[in-house]
Amino acid sequence: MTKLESIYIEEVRGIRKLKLDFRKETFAISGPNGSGKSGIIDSIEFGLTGQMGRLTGRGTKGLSVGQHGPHVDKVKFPDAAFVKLKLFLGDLNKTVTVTRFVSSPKKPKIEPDTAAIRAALDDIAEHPEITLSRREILRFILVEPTKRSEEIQTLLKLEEIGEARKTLNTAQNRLVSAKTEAEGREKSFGSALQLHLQIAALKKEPFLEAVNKRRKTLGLALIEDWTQDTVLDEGLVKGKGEPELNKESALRDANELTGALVTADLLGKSEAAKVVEDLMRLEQDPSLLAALQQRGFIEKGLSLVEGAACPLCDREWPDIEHLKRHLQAKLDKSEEAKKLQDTLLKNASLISGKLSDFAVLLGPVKAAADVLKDDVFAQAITAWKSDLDAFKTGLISVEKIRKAKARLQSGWLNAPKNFGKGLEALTEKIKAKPDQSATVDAQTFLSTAQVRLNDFRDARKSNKAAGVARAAAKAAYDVYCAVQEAELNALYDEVQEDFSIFYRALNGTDEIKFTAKLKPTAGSLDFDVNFYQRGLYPPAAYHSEGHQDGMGVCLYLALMKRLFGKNFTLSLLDDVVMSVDSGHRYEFCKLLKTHFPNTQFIITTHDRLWAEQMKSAGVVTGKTSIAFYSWTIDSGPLVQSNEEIWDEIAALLAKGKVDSAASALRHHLEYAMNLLADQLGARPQYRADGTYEMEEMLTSVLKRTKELWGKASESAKSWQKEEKDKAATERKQFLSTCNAVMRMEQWSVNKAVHYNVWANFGVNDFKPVVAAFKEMMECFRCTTCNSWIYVLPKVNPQSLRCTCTGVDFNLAMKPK
Amino acid sequence: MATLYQQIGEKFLAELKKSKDVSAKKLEALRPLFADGKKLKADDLVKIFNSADDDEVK
Repeated sequence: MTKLESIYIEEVRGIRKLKLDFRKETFAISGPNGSGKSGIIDSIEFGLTGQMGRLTGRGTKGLSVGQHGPHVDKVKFPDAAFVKLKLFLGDLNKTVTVTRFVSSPKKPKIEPDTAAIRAALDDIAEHPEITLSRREILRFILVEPTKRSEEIQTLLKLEEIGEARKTLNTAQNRLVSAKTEAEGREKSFGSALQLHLQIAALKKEPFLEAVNKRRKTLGLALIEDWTQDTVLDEGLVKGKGEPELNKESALRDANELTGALVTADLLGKSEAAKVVEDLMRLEQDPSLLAALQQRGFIEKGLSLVEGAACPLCDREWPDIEHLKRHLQAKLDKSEEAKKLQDTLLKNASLISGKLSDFAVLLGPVKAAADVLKDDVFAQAITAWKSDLDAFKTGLISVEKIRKAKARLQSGWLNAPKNFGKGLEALTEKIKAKPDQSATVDAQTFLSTAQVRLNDFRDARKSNKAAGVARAAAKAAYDVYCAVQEAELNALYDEVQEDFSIFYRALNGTDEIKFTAKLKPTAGSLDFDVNFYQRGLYPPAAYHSEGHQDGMGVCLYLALMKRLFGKNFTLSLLDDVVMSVDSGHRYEFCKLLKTHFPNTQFIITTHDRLWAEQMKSAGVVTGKTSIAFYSWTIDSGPLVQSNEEIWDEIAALLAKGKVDSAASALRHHLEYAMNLLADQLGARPQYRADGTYEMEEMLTSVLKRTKELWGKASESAKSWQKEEKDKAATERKQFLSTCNAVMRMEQWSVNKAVHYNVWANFGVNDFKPVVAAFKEMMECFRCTTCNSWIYVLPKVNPQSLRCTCTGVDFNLAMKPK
Repeated sequence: MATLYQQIGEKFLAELKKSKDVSAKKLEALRPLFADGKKLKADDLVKIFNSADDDEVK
């Protein structure tokens, strides 16, 4: 359980020096765009995690905390930029001060510094997701299902589950390939055995018939039963002389190879043509080639990621997740390249299988060449076999296949020169051998059969083992997928239930029967919401932008509840409900108070009304909120405060910065007049777009205030309260003098929002303007508590007051 | 508190025990890979799945 007590920020982002007391309570920061609100969020994030999401997230290429974290005037002095954060660690019941400098974000100064506190802070640092900005909302709502799945899995730290599934799948795929290879070998050795035995199928009956026929010739016992240990040439007395071959079998082997060579040009030709076609496509599209080359490199890198340092370039990243996301994003960009890679590897694998089938034919012929002492041809076979084996190993990756392009174009089998003639000569030699006696034929037949049976048995055993391995890998993958799906479904059910509850709470009677469905399917996450009981649709289909904003926040809250449970005690909401209308914002306040009473939210908004609503709804108070009225590069955020504003303006004028002083005064008046118009019930001319010129507001507020002081005076008279009457009358009269000043030309403000005629004044011209406004603004505050005056109730007001009752005037007349 | 990844790992091993395709020996070899929270590697898995089982049919 972590809560923020206070923060002191110096020279970070747009802030020069700023201290805020959060008091472990929800805190609101309001101000116009560019007034420095998000700089505070950046600073809190930095204090907690050493990172700033805005500088390290997606679309922030070229930005870094080290270079862009300090105030722009301190870029070369990152030591000057730091954040001092005071945190309350509930689990340890300790208040801790963390001071983190931009120059060394990973080495915060921690007071007190204990192992338990460091462990707690490390845990917090692993959760940058406590910050939600508007652009992050879109990550959940408006993205395609596969991306949403990734985003939400990232948020819930589920990537390692997905990675485990992928790794199990990779292992399964490798073992499927190994099984296919083993099947091919068994088939090839089986064919060689079959060819030798001259039987149509490797069945027990014809097998034993062929073998026993020779055993009978040799007077050996017939093999009655077949077992896995049966020895075909058992009892055969092997000669001590030169090895002998079986003439008929050797001829068949030679003829088989001769036949295969005749059609060799066609072997795998269509597959090779497809591979070449794909390779040409790669060569003609350098970007595709680059994507593919990068893909292999990045895939390897991603599989090697073990920490925050990139295994490819040694660059240190803020954390491992950040690095993984970066590499994964690069992989996602090369989907077309991946499809091409898959096709290439598939066709290459088919060629590889055909190569293996062919290579099996070389073995028996080589054995015949050895027996017949045709050393030159035997060496040619050995060399060719080695060449084919080497070529085969070059078919396992796109890079290697690219190197084999010329061979694939010209005929990949690449028979050695004069191989056909050598085979022909060997065949003649075999034929020239005298016909073998029945005894010798039977002897060589059985010994050759045994050699081939051994090869076949080994291949079959390997194939069987490969089958067992493949089955185990498949079972593991299937079980993992099933368990993962069940668990994630349960998780998503929980999240969608909370999401629906929060969204209904936000929208009240609008969507009382609202429901939503998060549906995980094959690596993606569909998200549909009910549109007024007319069915489930994607969020962006019918719901307004404001509703989508609301959905984003609700989904975020539901996910955070699932992620942290009771430890969801801190969240930074950076301008996240900007499209939600004012009515729904009150409901949002209720939602936060009702469902997250123990969570401290730091909420920023550029909307002044929303800031006020948070106060009136009791989410924050005057002490737990701050308003900026402007920002300058020299001062940073300008805080809305009467005492300080005049000091700040005076300081700016002392430096001769009339433009900055004019801007500050203008923003302060705009803020104050809007606030007073609301609190006093002023009646400026209604504008549908809600934009009111400052001069118009000023006139309206002055008129209304005079009216109220007039009423207060009349009321006091009716109650015979002379002192009250006198005080009210004095105030009314003073405001009348301001009214006269108002008409002076120098008070006018150009209507163009970004142009201020005051900015063209000299320092001495502008000082009287400031003095006059300062005096006038005092009329709207209590001199004791400094709060702005207000009426109660807003409709048909009965009293005019301040916070401390230093100003407390009755507006109601004494009944007659 | 176990992470969801660890919870899934535990349930995975429990379910896999019921599979006739995965021997007890292989299951025990898989256990530490899912228990220690380290990154899973395909090479390690292939080695385990390829390992001979005592009860394997020869």
